[in-house]
Amino acid sequence: MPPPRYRWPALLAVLLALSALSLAAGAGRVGLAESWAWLLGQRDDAHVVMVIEHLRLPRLIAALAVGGALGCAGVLLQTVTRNPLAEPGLLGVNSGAAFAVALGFTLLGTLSLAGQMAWALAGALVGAALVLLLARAGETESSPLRLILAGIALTATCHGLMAWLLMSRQESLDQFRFWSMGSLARLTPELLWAGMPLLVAGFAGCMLLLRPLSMLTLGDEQARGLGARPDRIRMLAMVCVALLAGAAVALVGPIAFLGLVAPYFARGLGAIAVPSQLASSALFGAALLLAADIAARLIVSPFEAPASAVIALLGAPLVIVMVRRDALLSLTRTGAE
Amino acid sequence: MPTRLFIPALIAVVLALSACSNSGAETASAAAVAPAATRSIVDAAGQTVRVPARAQRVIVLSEIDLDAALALGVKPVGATNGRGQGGVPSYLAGAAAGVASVGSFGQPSLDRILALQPDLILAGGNADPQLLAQLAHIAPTVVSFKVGESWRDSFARMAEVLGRGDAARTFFAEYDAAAKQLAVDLQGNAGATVSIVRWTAQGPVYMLGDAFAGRVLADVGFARPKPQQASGAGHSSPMSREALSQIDADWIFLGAFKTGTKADPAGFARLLQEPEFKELAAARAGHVREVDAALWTSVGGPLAARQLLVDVRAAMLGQPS
Repeated sequence: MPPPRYRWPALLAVLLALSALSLAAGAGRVGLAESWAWLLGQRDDAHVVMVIEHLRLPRLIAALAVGGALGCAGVLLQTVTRNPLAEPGLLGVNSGAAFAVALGFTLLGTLSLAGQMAWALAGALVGAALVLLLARAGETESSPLRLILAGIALTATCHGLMAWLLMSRQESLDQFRFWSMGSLARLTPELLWAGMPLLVAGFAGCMLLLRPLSMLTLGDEQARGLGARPDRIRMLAMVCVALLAGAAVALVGPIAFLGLVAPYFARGLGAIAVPSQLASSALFGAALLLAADIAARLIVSPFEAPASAVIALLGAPLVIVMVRRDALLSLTRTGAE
Repeated sequence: MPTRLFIPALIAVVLALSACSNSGAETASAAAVAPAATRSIVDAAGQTVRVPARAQRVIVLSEIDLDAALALGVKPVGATNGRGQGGVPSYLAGAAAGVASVGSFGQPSLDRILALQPDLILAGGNADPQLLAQLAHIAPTVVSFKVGESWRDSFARMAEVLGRGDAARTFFAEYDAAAKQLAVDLQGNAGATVSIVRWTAQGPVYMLGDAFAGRVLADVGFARPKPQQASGAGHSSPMSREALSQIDADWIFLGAFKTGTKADPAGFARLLQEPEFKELAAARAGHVREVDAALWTSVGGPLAARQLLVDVRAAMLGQPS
């Protein structure tokens, strides 16, 4: 592993290289030479301009934004629940979205892409809200454990209802299975822009929570001593997670694993404080999703592989390497380690 | 309930329930023995089955069975896919009015099948031996088609099973005449290439060479774009939108599922405005049509085939048949 001061530049360089590759790689006849010419400002070939500006650039932006969002959401959730195994799906976001999309297909027969995104977003936000309510029900303070249990309960319920809906209608299942594999191929620029405000709101929330979250890592008692309100911080962090992960699942479908794995990489790189964990996890998430998306278009070209499957294939070996380096089991790795 | 009473009570309930199901099975086998005249046929799975000479109470477990039975003038007493879930394909809804539901596709309810006292069950392409064995206890059960088989072969076999060979011959003659007439009427569009596509959340998929709709189009003399001639009865993987030129053709039929009356449930009007779509020759010529996916991109059947000819006529000639 490189010495600490080279890590940030290295991470940024990787991201930049992947971004360039993502503009140059694809199934069409637009290759490296054409992409390079486009970067240098040539706009003669309408097809090249269309492919790069209308198809590849939105995908690049989506991969950066969604990957970054899942990376941030992972850190937030792991910090707040003090559980290194927590991932954004735990908040009921993915299962809520999946159930809503299945319901939409069943009720309406079919959904446009915009319709699928709207149903997914609604389901994700309702799912997250339910989990947060369940975790607080009857208590003044929500504890991390209650939250995790509420998330598991809602996921199981949604899964059961969804399976029932899909079994009862072949056509819904037929359409749902395409939705259920997360992929960046589905995005059109308008839909991407429609989802951006939520992501921006989520990222802005993260920035505002940097200091309070740092206090929270000292423990509730200490944080209270410093004038923070732990329960409120947790709640706000959850709202950010819901916005980030909800927008992510609406835009590209369920991408498991990324929100779990990116914070690990960040810590493995030596990020200890919450701000640096968030930043490096976001960069990692973006880079990983970008790499997965590039692979997804190339490995079965001219067809598309689901990016969610590629993430799992890419991410799992990396986690194993990191586990073997013993770099990730503690959440904050303070002084003693 | 006191705990010590709970277990005995549970046992009593289980015994009572199993007694019920036993008596049910007995009446069913009694009903199955009754038929007067039987014939021996070989089903799609290669099994020899004794079926009634002219089955009266038929239950169908797949949409191609339902389609074929209705085409032969046999109205089944039960069919899979609950109507409440919009299960019966919309193009059959009229003809299949009054047919009882026996559960969802792939998971028929044995209780409901039993209650309808069928004298024949068409099990579709289902080869689940356990289910077939259970069904065979209720009534003679026939695997009616092989997966990927031409609808003509399946239909001919079902006609034989149902003892309606004459009706099938009449249907084939009418269908072939309609296909021939369409080919003549097409003039400028005769021999055009036709692309059959579905739009999914991961991108477009096209139907492969042996898929139902492709066979029907071949009857009219249409060719498919080269990638769509690959063998296979299903559809391709989702395609990259950069490679959309591979689905281009003289005409594109885009399949969408619908339940309601909404004109464009899949939002194709919007899709057609995307720049990558506007590059296609078919789009520039205004030759993209939205069609019912339950008809065009499913397993099909004789009535579906006939309806496809109607759809093609409407698309290319702008007139009903």
